[in-house]
Amino acid sequence: MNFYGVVRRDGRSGPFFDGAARDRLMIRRCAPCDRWYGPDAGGCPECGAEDLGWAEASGRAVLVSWAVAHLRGGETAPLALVELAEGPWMYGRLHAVTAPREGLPLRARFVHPDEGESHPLFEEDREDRSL
Amino acid sequence: MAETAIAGLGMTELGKVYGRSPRRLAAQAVRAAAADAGLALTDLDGLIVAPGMSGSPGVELARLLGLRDLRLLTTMNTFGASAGAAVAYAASMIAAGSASAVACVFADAPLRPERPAGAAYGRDAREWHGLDGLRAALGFRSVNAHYALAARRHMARYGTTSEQFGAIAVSTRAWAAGNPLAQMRDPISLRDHQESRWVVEPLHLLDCCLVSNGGIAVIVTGGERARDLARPPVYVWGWGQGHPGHRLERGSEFGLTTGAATSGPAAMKMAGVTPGDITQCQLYDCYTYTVLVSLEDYGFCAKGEGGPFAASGALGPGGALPTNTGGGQLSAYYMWGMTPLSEAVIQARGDGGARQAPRNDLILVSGNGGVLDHHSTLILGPHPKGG
Repeated sequence: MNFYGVVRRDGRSGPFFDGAARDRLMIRRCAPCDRWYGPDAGGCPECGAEDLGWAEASGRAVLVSWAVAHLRGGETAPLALVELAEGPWMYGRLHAVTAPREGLPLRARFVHPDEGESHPLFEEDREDRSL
Repeated sequence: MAETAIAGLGMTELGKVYGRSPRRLAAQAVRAAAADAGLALTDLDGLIVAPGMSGSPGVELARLLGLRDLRLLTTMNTFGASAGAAVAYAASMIAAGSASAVACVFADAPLRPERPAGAAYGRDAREWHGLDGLRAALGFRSVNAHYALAARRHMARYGTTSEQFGAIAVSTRAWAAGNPLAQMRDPISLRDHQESRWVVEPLHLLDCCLVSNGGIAVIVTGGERARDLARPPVYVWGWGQGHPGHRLERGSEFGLTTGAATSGPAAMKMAGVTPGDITQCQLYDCYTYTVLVSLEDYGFCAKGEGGPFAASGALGPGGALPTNTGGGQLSAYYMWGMTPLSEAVIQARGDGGARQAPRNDLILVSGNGGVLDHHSTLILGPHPKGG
């Protein structure tokens, strides 16, 4: 695993990182509208609700787009924009994806560093879900 | 709508200009623009300030310039779309009789001598906080990453290639050779583009603009007033804005279409023209990709055909649609929306010198803000509308 600094929670992100510590992807959901949003959504644009609840997502996703950041010091970071099975898009980082393409099935896996918060990466989902 | 025109253009030194605050640069640009128009500062009755990254001027600029009895004073910010939106607002107010001579100014000084240009828009830390911090930790250190995702999506969907982005870098640099104000004037080849270092794949260094310090202002007046002033009027034929509000969720067109798809038709309808009437383009080129997708959204080629269109040579010197004739943000200077606007004024006046494009009748100017979140369009020309 490349070193990219220590991640700390802030006042708005506790449930996300608590979920990640237990290998669960927590995102936002507006229950009255039955709509899901990304983890950093500030409200529901449909109904105007300002306090969205947290809900556990399946962790399944497909790849929308990808990029490789070349950071100072020579480190590279495989970046991704993924579409969660529930509908929202989420920025993330890929793990061991060798042939990225639009629509590639992905699933969240979780990193538990010695210091700082746990967080998801996205790896290829090879499980056949067609049945 | 009553006739309006750009009557003055003022530009400070641009690029690695150190030791001057954005406020001072803005004041200098307004003074230069008024002098260019043959107006005294006391003739101005409107000021619109478009802020940049940080430490940018606000409405207090009026006091610094000693402007009195203004009838219009405001800041406007839709990032890279601000300049076009400011000219449109100035023209609207003049047409309504609410102002007669309005300065629109942008100034910024993100570059500092002791740090690399990339640091001006980027971030680096050992410890990150919250979800925003997590994203940065994962590698999203600047807006480059977001545009890389947009560009990659276009490539994946339409088969657009890095070489096609490179064709834009090459043609833009070819134009820059004729612009004494351009920071990068040595010709480049497609190979130079391909061999330039990665910033965020699929973006090479030569896909990215030149972060710059400086200030640029224009003066907008009524058409009749402009004809009595010092320089040839640059008439405002039409304008538009487009803010698509892409939500990051299933079905989003992010990276595939931009606000140009609505801003362009609105501006062209107002001007009474079609894409085939436009004789040159000054397009916001924060990245080569931005030019390519804008050309599609404006209707200069079909959706998905921006790559082949760019690679056809249409955009460079001698091409059918001269584009970014001053070297744009890629090779000349990154002054947000003032880069394409200033070059349009220079071209419309026929002041392009070695880079003057043969036909300047109708010039389309674009502005793009955020990560393809905001778009503005102006259609400008040396002849009165309908004349």
